[in-house]
Amino acid sequence: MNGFVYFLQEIINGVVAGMGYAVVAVGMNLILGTMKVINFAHGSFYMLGAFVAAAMISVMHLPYWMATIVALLFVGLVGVLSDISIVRQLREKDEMSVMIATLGLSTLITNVAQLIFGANPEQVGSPYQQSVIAMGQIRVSVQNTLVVGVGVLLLIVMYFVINRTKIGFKLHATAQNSEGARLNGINVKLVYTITFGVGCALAALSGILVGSTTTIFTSMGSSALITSFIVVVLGGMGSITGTILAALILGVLQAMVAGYLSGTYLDLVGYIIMVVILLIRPQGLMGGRPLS
Amino acid sequence: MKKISRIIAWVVVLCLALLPLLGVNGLLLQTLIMIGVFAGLSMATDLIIGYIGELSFGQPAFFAVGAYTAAKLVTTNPQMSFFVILLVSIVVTAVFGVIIGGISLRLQGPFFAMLTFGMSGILATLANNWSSFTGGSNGLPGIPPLQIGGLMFTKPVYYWYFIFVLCLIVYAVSRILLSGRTGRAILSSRDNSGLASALGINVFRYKLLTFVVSSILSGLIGVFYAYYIGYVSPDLFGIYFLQMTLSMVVIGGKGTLIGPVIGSVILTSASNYIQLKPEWNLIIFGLVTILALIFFPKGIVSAFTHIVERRNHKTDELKSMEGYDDTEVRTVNG
Repeated sequence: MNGFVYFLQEIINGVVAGMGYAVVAVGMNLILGTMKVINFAHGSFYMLGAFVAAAMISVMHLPYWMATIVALLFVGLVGVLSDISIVRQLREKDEMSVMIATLGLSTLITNVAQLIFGANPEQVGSPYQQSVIAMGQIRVSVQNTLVVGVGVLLLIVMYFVINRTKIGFKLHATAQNSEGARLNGINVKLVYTITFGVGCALAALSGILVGSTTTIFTSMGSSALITSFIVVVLGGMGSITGTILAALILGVLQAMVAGYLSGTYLDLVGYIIMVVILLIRPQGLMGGRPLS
Repeated sequence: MKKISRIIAWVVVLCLALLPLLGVNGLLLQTLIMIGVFAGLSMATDLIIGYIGELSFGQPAFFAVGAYTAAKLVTTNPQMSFFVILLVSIVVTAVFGVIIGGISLRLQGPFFAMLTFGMSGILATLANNWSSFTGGSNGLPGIPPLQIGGLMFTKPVYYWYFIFVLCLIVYAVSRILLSGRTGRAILSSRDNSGLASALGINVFRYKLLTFVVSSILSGLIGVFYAYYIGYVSPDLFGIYFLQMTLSMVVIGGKGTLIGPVIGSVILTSASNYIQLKPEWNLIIFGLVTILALIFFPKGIVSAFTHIVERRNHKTDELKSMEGYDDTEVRTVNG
């Protein structure tokens, strides 16, 4: 394999990883941009989605797409219930309580999952794992193509829902001025609950898609959480396009570091990016406007 | 009222000091020592959560830095005096405190939380991967028993006295920090930073001071913990210590210093005596923390002082009204 092909292969790996990051981070950013809440349980929803889908496939013998839908609905429901029972109660009080409470929720979900699913690593069984598309010397697995395809499709749909539909307008109004939105007859609490549920379901979707390309384990939520943070910070709070761009940048950068330097300090790259961005440009690459 | 609570406090301290003479050992002593570790750590956390008013996810990191510093020094040079180790650990955690605090205190709210989270993540990654220095995921094993002067810490009772004194030091240092001019400056920076800086208080400097003191105290507890357990590993950076200390501060009552101690007594005894799987422990603690935040946002201590204050307040109010004497007050209250 010559140098250029190796380079291209790394770029492709980076884009695939980046699309996985984009889906989970868009979920976090949707919640942050609309509700002004940082969901520290986001990583555990990512993990939960992957494990529920894996169980649906291996125990209930559902087909891949059906298991995905069941897992998304389940995690979405857990998200809706979490919002009603926890976030809604604390949002008005102060943001520190919400942060501590969602961290507690994360501990809760992670350990319940550990009791149910055990500590052994598993995999989301996908029919597309083995097949590979070869273009010359470059090889891409069908599952990876699926990750990118679903990611792109989903983000296009999100873009249109947010910018072209009635519910999107309600979302915009709530994000910009919740008090004003309420005075105009928008059920702000309902918008928040739906946003939280959809955000959590997005985290789960990323977990399911990525979970078929690598092994999953119940403690993987914390690294997903940190990656989402980094992407949200880099892309800018509340900016969906910024999030996608940032996710791709992070994915490609990490693939380059892993491919040319070493895989050991992969996490370090993300942390350093986050700290530097927070210090020199806290609004992120494309931040500043809510939900653009 | 204040007098009574002070007397109660001294009685409790005295009882705790005399406890081992009653032949306390085994699980109870082990529990008491762990209560001490968590009480010290959560008091240090409370300095940031309760008195700076920001959520720090970096407290276990300072605890771990203290533990790693002591472990590294004592395993490379077993002859080194404990006081030198203590001094070096204080300097190292102070330096980390100045760097991390100096960077993260420039931001607030979720940004502060994320920065402390990220920076403790950097340290955890280093502890996990810089194998030649930190021992990688195995950590640094083989820390010899603590030796101060000629005294070898062979029995657990010695460790109990040590952590007991350490907790008193943590409490005393925090109280000294929070009293007088400095304390008022810290409190006003928390309550209204705009007004405080308009009055000429350097808000950032006082917050940094509190942060660094908190990190030194966490580091000291970490030094003790390294000796007590006998090894250090990257687990010290993990979610377990973070969740435990945050739960203790929330359940006990943030911004009270004594609340976190009560929180650690409750949670540590619960986890040591109700011997469940560790998963169940964390599930229960996560749940209790969420419930506490919703129903008891000011914690156990504040619930108690609130009742006392309300009773005092009622009596004062009635007394100040004309035409009421003590007998009438009593009938009204009864």
